[in-house]
Amino acid sequence: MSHVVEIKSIYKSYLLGEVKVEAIKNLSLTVTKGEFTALVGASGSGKTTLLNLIGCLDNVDKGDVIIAQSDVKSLSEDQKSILRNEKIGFIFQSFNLIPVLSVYENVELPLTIRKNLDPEFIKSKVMSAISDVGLADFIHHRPDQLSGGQRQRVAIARALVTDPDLILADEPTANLDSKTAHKIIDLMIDLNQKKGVTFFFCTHDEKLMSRVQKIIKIKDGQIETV
Amino acid sequence: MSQFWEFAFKNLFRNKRRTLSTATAICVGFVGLNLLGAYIYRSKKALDATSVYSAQRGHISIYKKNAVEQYQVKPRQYVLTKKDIEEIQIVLKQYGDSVDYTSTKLSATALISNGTKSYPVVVYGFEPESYKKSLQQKDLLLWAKDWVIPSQLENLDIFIQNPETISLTQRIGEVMALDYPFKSSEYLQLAGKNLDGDLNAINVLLGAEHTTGLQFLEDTVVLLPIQKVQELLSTDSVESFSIYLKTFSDTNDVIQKLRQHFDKMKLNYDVFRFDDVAINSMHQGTMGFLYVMGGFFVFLICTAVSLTIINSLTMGIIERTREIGTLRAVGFKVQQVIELFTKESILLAALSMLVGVILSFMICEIVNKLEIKFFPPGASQKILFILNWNVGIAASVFVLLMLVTWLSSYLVIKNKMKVKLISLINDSGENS
Repeated sequence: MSHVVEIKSIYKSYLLGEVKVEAIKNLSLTVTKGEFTALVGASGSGKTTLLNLIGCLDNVDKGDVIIAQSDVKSLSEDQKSILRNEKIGFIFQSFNLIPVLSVYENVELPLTIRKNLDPEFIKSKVMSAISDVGLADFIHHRPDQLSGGQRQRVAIARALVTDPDLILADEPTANLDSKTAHKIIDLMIDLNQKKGVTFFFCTHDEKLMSRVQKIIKIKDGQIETV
Repeated sequence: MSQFWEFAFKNLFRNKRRTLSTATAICVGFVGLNLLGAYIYRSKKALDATSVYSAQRGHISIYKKNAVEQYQVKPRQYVLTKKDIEEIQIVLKQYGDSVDYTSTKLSATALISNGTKSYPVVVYGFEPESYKKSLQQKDLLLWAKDWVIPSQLENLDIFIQNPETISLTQRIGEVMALDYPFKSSEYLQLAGKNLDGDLNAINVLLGAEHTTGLQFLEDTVVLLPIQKVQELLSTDSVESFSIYLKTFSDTNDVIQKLRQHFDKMKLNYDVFRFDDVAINSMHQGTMGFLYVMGGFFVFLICTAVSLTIINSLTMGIIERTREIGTLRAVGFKVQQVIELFTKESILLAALSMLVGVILSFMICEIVNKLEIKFFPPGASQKILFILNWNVGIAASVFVLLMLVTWLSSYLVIKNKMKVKLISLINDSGENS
């Protein structure tokens, strides 16, 4: 099985006021293609920091992050953008949809910056991703016309549309009621099982934890158990 | 990327009030600059036309070398003789395609008298045929018809029919206590020194009225056919040679060729453009003032537009920080985010200025229809306040404000892109 993510002895610290916080300390892990992995831990344990490092949203102080065979350290900012666009999908806790764009346009967004793509191909990919999350009847709706669960589905479709090697989700059910959260969990599991999409997400949601293949517990910036 | 334009367009409706206020500022700035440009454009065209045709300078004036400074002191030495004129005309034949007609001028200081009252004047001698032609030129009638009094246009043949006819301004007539309107049967005397310094006097027939258009010349200048001025000065020479071209646009080219030719042939002539400060300080002074004033307003309006865009975009970007982070997270490069935001401002500016084009055109039309008359500084009479809306000026202002818009928005978004991606994503000002 090929590794989508390989992390070797990484360190990350940041300043909180004048205090230096060691968020990640000598952490190593791998994520294999097709895995459905949850990253759990108390607040401040370093979950989101780790997710940001894997998503090339932040840089490590020391160590190596290899995403889809690319050593992130050696990439320029533009190359990291391309890597994020082609290999990684993001699902944010607060959806992060563009309010002025329709469901279709939000999902289409990552593909609009790719060069030389056939418009028909883009349309079929977007419609397929929207259908996968069950929002085919809402393509012209704007985010403010959707419920929280529907918005998160749009975010999932946006993450799916580029066929990424990895989808990173930061507390994807945190802003949803339990019934909607269930549906989102079901959707993610379904996409993982039927389409082989690799999910790596951090969560506090025990319902979600009980349904994942692999749980990585993190404490004080280090992996406690796998 | 066409989607970027579509995205940018949709973003204009995100905060309608802010978009409207920014658009209004750009539109008002655009209209203001266009109206100012329309006024300056009209003033320049009118000054050009009066300089060339009313003042009989032609597009190009040729003087004996240094005559402009020295003619009044040593007139005999600095006049153009018949031989000089022939020499110039031979050279001019090479540019026959550009030249419409030519004329000569001769001025003198004299004392005008009606037997009871005398008054010092400057006599401008002109060729009656070219005077008639000049006052009939379409450029003059189009741009400065109100700078010529109607009787001038009605009596164009009077100097041809009787070369003794002198034209006075109303002001000189008042000073000399002449009946107004002037009686055409009244003889006046002109007395002055001829080119040899001897006193001379001639009889002239009062028969026409003119205006110089300028307050400071209105009580000084009289017009007289050149042969009478030559009689007064006891000479067959002239002061300057005027060349009237078929189009204004050929002026610099012909001047350059003439200068090169005169230099090559070692001919001692000075060649001046109609608006050269040496022979037409009024044109230079007026246009200089208008350009400085225009430049000042351009600076003010560009600064105001720039600050409005910076302010509006800064507010927008603060609200959309997390959105920028999201765009970067899904793969937008820094340059692509900058492109998206600058396109937003450019689109807003373009739409505002399109409205501005219509508004400024309408304002010009309305103002012109109202036929407002005003006294320009230094003018001898009221003239129409005309605004000539001009595509070239509108296009220039459009490009200028586009550049200001692009630069202002580029600086704002470029500055924002210095913020770390992780800080953009974690910003709490999200509203989606």
